[in-house]
Amino acid sequence: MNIRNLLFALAIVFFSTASMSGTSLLSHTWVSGSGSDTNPCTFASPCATFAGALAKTTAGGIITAKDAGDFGAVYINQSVTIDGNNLGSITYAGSSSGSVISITATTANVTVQNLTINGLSITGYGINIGGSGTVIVDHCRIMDVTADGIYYTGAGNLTVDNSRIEHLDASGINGVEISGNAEQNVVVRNTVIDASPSTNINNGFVVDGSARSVTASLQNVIIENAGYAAVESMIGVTEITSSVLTQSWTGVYAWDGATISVASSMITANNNGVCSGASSKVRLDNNDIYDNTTAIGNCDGIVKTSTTNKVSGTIAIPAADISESVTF
Amino acid sequence: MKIRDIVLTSVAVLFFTASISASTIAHTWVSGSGSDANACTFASPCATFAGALAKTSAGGLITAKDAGDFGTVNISQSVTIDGSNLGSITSTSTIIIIITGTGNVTLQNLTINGLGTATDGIDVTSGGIVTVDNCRIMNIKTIGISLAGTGNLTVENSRIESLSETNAYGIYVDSNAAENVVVRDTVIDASPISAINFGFYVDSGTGPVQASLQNVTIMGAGGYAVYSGGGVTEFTSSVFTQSNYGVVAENGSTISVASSLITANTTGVCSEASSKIRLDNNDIYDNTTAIDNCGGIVKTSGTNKVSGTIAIPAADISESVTF
Repeated sequence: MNIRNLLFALAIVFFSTASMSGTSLLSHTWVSGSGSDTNPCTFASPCATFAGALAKTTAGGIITAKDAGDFGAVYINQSVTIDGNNLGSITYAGSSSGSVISITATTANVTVQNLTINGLSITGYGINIGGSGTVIVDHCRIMDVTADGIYYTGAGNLTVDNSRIEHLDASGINGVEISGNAEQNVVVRNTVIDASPSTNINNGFVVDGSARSVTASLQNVIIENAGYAAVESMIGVTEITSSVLTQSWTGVYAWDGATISVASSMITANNNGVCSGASSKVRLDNNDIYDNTTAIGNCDGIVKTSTTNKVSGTIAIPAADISESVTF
Repeated sequence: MKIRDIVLTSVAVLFFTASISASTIAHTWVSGSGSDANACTFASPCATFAGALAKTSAGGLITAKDAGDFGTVNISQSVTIDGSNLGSITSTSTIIIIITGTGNVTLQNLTINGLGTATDGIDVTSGGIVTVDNCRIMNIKTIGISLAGTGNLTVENSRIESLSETNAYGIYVDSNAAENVVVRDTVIDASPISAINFGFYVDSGTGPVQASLQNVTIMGAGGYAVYSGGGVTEFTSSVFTQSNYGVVAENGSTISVASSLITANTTGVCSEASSKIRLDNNDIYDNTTAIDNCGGIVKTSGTNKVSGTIAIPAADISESVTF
């Protein structure tokens, strides 16, 4: 090999190495408050933002906060886990139609965990989920938004666990909104939704959108201070257990043909405890329904009760619309 | 450029810089090695929550970057303070955190220790929407968390303990205005039982108080684990135990208790004149007196299980699903 060929070979090695280090992806990337997005996002050389790290993370990989930091709004279009490690946060002053976290991945598994998400009373959505697949929000605090805490229009499954959604800083918005036109399965568990201020006409949890198959299951959830309804559904079936729906305009509101079942829960201190609109159904079993101005409102729909509910206050619905049965 | 112009320009630059340094940012940081002379950025964090708050825009966030003792703070704007499970406040000041105004205030992941000298842990007054999440409040003389005036208080995943003086309260609601309270997944240890202390206490004011408590354990109260002197309070999936009194309603208040344990108290349940306690699906065991004759109404469903003395007249106990 002469000198010229040697130099040529070295140049090829150099360029191919540069090319690899520039575009190769890692399955586990890291962000740090003192990181830089020009780094490769390794533990030793972490990035500064979730968006910067995501660009260097393989599909299905994980991004972890190495230490405290504010890691920036992120648009997710692949399978990934983002773990704030209970140290990471995102504060983001976006538009009223914008999102702190936006997920549009298709046929994907996306998990967001251990993260504080703050819209600074400016950004619209905390987490805006489209696309399809499975999305899990676990141990997140979502606050100070002007649209919804979580807005789900994706196709597939959404699970919200161990989280808090609070400070809905505009009227006509929701803690969690299940919407769109796709088939959806939703689980919310161990979660607090504070829809305050109640002067805003807001829902804690709502199912709306086009007619379609939607199932929602809520367990050990507390929803408070909704200026409209703690739980409202217009479509599909929603089941609630071991939960508290309180201090709202309406506790449980089914209409437009929706079915809501509530078991072993408290529906208390609302203006209307339960309201079932025309062609809709609310099932009540083993609940404590106290201190509402109207316990069960006359909303033209059906309320089916077992004999195990305990109720104080006015029951305004005609007796014919209340059936007591174990088969319902 | 003449000398005079240079001087004027320099003065202008100086004032401009000063004005920038006084502006606020949405996300500020504190650190155990910070300084309040810093800008409170991540790279240049402050030393105290109070110092950071002065540089945080309304609705912003203050985060503990690492471990530290970040000092008392007086909050009169919307803000979230996040101790990151690393931050603490130890203080002998009278009140450790004061929250006033109508803002959204969240305190999370923080340990607050009054060293047996501070009178109150967190005092909330005047109309705010306040959340206390994942905080430990301890070694306080008189009140762990106080809500006075109109307001909306949510406490979750927290622990209040070591009330160091008699006539102390874990959570105190003054009941003089419209007050909405939610407490969830929280422990209030009002011990020592030798002190006349109270776990969750709604005073006998005139305001429409609504309180809802889920999965709360209150123990060791030498006074009452739970007392309400006004409005409506509901409990579910909770435990009231090892206290002098478990649940006490007075002054026209209503307390509802469902799916809970009221155990090992001197008196389990006491409803004073003109007051009402609803009991559904509870286990009321091992109290010296299960239900005392305190002159008020106790309404029970057929699903409570009770051991021990029921001293209230049978006429004051109604079994009904409509109550």
